[in-house]
Amino acid sequence: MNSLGAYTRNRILLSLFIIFAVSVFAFLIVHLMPGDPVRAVLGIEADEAAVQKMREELNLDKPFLTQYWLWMKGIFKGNFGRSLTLNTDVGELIGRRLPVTLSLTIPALIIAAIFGIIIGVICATNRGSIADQLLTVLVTIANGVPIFWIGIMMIYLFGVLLGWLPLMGYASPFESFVEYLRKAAMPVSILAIRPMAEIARQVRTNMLEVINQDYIRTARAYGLSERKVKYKYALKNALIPIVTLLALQARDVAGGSVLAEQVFSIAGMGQLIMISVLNRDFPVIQAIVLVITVIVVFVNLLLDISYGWLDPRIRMTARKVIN
Amino acid sequence: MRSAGSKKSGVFLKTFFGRGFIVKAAVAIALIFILSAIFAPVISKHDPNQINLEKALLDPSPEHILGCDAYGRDVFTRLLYGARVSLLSSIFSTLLAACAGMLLGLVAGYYEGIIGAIILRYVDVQLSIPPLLFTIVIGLIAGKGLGGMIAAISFSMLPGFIRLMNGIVLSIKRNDYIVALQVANIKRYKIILKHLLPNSLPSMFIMFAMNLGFAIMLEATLSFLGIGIQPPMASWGSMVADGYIYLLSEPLLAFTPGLCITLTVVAFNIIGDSLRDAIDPRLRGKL
Repeated sequence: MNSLGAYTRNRILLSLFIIFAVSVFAFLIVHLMPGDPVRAVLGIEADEAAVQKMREELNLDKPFLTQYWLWMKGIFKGNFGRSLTLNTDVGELIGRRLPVTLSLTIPALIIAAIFGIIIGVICATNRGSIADQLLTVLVTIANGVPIFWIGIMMIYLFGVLLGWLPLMGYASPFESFVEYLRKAAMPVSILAIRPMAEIARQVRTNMLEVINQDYIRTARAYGLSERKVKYKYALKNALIPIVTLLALQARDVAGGSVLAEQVFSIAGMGQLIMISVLNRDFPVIQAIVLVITVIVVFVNLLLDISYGWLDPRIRMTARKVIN
Repeated sequence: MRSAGSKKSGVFLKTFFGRGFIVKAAVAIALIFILSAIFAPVISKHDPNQINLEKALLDPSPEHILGCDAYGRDVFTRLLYGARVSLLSSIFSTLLAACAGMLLGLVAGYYEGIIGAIILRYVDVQLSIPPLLFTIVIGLIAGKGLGGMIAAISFSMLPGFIRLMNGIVLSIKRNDYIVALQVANIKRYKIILKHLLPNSLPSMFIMFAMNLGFAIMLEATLSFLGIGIQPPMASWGSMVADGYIYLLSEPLLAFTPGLCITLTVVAFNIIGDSLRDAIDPRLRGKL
């Protein structure tokens, strides 16, 4: 098998293992939660027969491993169980709310990547300039400012004082795109701030590093135009490590959507998990943890494979380490 | 000897304050918050939790510098006591994560083999779950309130410490003098206590300092979501959430606690970065 094939195969195996481990973690939530999950929903004064009936419905009376087996079997059939408090099918709940969260997180990541790269390149090619120094300030603040607070302050500035944007809420881009843009502008921006700053910093560092490499000096010695050297050779190589960083940011933005949805009252996955945590609605919590992590692991896998494909050094070292 | 020592600390201070004004400002801000947390009862005579509905949503005045919240509690006093919660919980949870991470990283690095593999795979698994989601679930398992929150925060910082410690142990272990000690039949615990642990301390300390700001942010986030500090206890995060309700009429209520969070986290992050540059510049870009 060639090295790229071996690298891809190993990444896929590792991802499958992680998904299995996370499914065990998600399954364990109900058993690790303090107190009796059924009593928590039915109330302390519920009679024993009702409690027993619900335990049987939720398979909680069966042996441990059987419970896990039944849960996973259901999921493979697309059956995530029923919400204990919302009286709906969990799969249906997620099917309704996942697109909402994706319509905020995906644009946030794309915007963060585009602007992060542009800012990073500007700073690296104008090292020490005011723009470059501003980037350091931006990165420091972006890492220190709570995004939920920035969101609230934006609501006050753009919604209350200036009246440019609606205070909160959500509209689907497929129903009214303009309304979606107006309502998603603030939540998407607060999700994009931190990844954008991180990407800009990384692009700047990489680019400065690449510019000092021998092959760039050679390209210059050959008399290539500075423009061609910078954008064709330096930028291309500076961008490869960004792929890994993007995977990390995808994970963080998925978590950050909990805050964005909470601040802007958006009915997505993040808001759903907060409702379920407060109601101790464990089938929903388990399903959300599993679904979001599987998506994140899948995105990571795709980015990892493309990383190995873009940079041959990675798959070579990976082969050496693994074999 | 003494002059050599003071020279060394002179170099340390020079690199630490190398970035000039910014670092001095960060130290000043951190000191202000630490001192106000310690001397909160001296600075303000008000009770942070005393409800007085006659003073509800009072505007700032000489007696209440930042006004009162919806329950008539003095906002400035609550900010001071909020600093206590933020600083104490972040220091405790980071310390907890550092100790547990050192132990697990040491075991994983020194004994490698199957136990090491299990620990490192655990790290991979935890890091693949979005951190905020993971912390929320751990918070649910550990229970509400200060203790559960500290457990949740330290759990989510654990992987970083394990990985760092594991890397340090692996690199020190390959050194000739450690191999020589092993050949000379020196007891394992002696090698660990005398050589591995002391050598890991500078990096672990830097990691500790750099994680404090992160812990403060996480505490604020959990309290904002209502699963951290429980009322009536004051926390900056929950003050932002409470103030958010009155955003239209009293924007200051949500503004000031958020500003405190930002200032503290930025200050601690800058101090952490400068400590790293002063203690071990090679770690730049790695930590």
